[in-house]
Amino acid sequence: MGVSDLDRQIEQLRRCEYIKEAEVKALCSKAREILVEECNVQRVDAPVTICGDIHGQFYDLVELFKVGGDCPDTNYLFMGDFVDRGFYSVETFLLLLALKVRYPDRITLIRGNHESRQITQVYGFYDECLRKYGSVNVWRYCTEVFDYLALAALIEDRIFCVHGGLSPAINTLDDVRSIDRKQEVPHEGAMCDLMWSDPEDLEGWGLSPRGAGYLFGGDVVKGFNHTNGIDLIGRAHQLVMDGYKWMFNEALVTVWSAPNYCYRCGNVAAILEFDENLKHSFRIFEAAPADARGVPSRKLVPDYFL
Amino acid sequence: MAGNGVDFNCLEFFKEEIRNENATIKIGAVNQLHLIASALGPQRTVSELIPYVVQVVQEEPLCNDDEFLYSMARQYAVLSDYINGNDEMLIAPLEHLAAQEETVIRDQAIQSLCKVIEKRPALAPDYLVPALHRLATKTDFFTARVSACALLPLAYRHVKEDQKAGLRKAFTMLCADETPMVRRAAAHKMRDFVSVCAKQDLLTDLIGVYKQLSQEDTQDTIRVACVHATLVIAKMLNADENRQHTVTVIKEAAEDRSWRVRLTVAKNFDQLCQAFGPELTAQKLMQPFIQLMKDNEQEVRKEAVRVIEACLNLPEPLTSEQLQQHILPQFQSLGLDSAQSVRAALAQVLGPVAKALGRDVTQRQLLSLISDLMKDEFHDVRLNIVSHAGLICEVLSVDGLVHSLLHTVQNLIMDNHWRIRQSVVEQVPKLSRLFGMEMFQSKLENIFLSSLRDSVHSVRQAAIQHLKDIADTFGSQWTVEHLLPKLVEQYSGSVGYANRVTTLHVLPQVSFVMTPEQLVQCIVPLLVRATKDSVPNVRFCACRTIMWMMEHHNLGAQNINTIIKPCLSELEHDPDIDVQYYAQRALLLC
Repeated sequence: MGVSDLDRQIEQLRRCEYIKEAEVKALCSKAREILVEECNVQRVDAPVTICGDIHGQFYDLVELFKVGGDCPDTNYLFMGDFVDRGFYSVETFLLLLALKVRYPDRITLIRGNHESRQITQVYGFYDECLRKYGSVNVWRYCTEVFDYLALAALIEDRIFCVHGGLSPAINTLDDVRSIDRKQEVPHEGAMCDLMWSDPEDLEGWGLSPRGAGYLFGGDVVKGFNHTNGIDLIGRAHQLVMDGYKWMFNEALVTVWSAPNYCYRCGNVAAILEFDENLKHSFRIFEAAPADARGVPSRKLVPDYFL
Repeated sequence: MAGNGVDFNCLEFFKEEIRNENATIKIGAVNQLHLIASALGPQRTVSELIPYVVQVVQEEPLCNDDEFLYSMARQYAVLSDYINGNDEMLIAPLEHLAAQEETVIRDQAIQSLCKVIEKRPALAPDYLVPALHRLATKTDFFTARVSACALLPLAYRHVKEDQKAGLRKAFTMLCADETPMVRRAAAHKMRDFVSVCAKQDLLTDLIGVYKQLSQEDTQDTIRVACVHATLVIAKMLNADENRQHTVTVIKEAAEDRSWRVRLTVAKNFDQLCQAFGPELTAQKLMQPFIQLMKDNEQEVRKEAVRVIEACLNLPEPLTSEQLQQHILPQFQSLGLDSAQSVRAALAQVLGPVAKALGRDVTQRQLLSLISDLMKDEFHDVRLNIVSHAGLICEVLSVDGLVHSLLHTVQNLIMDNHWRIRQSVVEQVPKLSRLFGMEMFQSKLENIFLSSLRDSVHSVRQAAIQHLKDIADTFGSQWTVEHLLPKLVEQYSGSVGYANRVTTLHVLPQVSFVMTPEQLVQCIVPLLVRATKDSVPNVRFCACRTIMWMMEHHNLGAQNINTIIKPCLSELEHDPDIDVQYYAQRALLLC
């Protein structure tokens, strides 16, 4: 797969047109080759712009790029949950993946709890693949890529980024590094917690109402940051109406990048830019206006026969 | 195929395929019907294939298979090329499909019928017309009559004179059909049908049903279709006839109880003016139009305001007197309209209206409204005024407005919505041409340059793209002596890498007004500096800008070899893979 093929596919995906099944297969296998080389805690250099959940809201991802700048001019770190719930999980994930393959050093993707075989069968990605490609092959290729995604990222040794949060089974970054990540997201344990846990105003650890992961308090964050010599934990996973939310005296920040989540929540979205000196600024954005959303591409067969 | 000693009976093969239980195979066979036809040759296609197909279409189980029927409806038109001119034999089978219940099948059958008739118009009198009459009088199910409506305009064009009266009669009958769906189909075809009729026939036979349908009380879509038909009818009739027949229809439509009908009049008012001509427009249409500008529905008011611009672009536009007498009096209340979209539409037409009115009247009657709308709380309204500011300023001469206009621009460019900021940035080149260099420098330059450092990428992008216009407007000397130092200063003073990347994108835009010497002297040093930046994104953007410069300008072999090439060679070994990639590509141009 040459650079020009890839550039063409990226252009196509940017227009929200999905690419051929054979192209998906090649893209996913190339992506696995790149991702397998990455660490569980992938090192990332500043400047970088970090983004939270996207959830298949393709046109809002386009809006995100309009606000934050295009890849590769801007470096991006996406903290998981690319798929499910929105109408365009296929296009969203494949665009991000194609950018990853084209510019491996400019964009980092880490795994969210929705990058899982089980969850995607319930929340839409599986059905979307079946509907758009007529078979589950594309879903299979994509979920195989999920197993290779990094679990976390570390920006300039100062900012730890993860989809969900912390785990009682993890004290140091080396604990994360020692997980064997190439598997389906398990139902419990360190790997599961990284993708499922939430911060909460409490002391120590609490049971999560989600049924997976834990709730963790400010003291846990303080301890973790101190032990590992980091300033900040960046994470996503929870809808916050203003797009971002500081907690624990700016020791942790939630970033959410799906505006008007599920096309009805009425929230704004945010991305968090760190410049080369790690000076941060939030960029807030709203859902793409109706005239910037294309009509879903349809075959010309009348509805009746589908 | 068959003659080659290979005993392959393709007709039998086809018969088997369309009996296949697998829908894909069955439909695939239908869609490949032309291959069978071309293998059989025209004679056997006519004598065996088509009779066979006509028969299975009517038999169980295929007569209930909608997808099969739909594909067949399409294939009949394709077969037309394989039957040696015997197209008449296709009409009856298509008539059969045009009488089906399922809409997609009927629509396709009608399309195919039209294709066949367009190709062989001579078939219309003897084959299409009888078929049409049969469809129009089929009573068992209304869908056949709907199909008849769709065929009427085409048939009418190609029949003999003595058949025309019969078709007109069929049309009037369909217009009065007891099934509303049939009346609606007839009303939708009225516009096409009257446009192929002679004027005399229209007046004697059709004007009655036209009036009758325009009073139709159950369905507003029928009354909407009558408004569209009026556009054609009014053009055919003279002023007196229009007074007698059509003016009332439009008057009533403008007061219709359904807002869709009123909206249709508002949206098409410019075309109505054109169809009725200036005299009738002045006498009869202005009053209904004023009503539309005062309508209860905001959508109707909005469209009535919007259409004014189109009315001013007609070959015989609304006159300044008409504007002053009928339209301007409404503007005051429209300017205070509770609906934002109406005020936004008003802001949009003020420019063209001002132009039509000329300086004195605009100053006297519009200036306060323009000033008010510039302060409107809704940003779309302000934006629309700004985007037409050029026109307004031309009419008023700059001085009258410049202060409030600048104030509006300055506010809008700091709006919270980035799309608003982007739109304002797009207006700046136009404004700067209008204001001239001095005013631009003192009032607009700073805010424009600050949008190069906007927090949103798209706004920066817009500023980058429009800087070229500004450089063009004020010329090379101004760009090099005044603008460029500011850009360099912005580059050096910038904190974030994004601003340095922006500057690298700006340089190509201003390079067009510069000489090669100026480029080497002023821009190349900045590019060299950028190749040594600590951030890889800046370094590879520098490579891309260097590539662009080498492709579009002659920088001189000497300069390339001594200044640019060494920088790029160094980047070839950069630790960052993307920097390496772009450096290598740039080196190919050296």
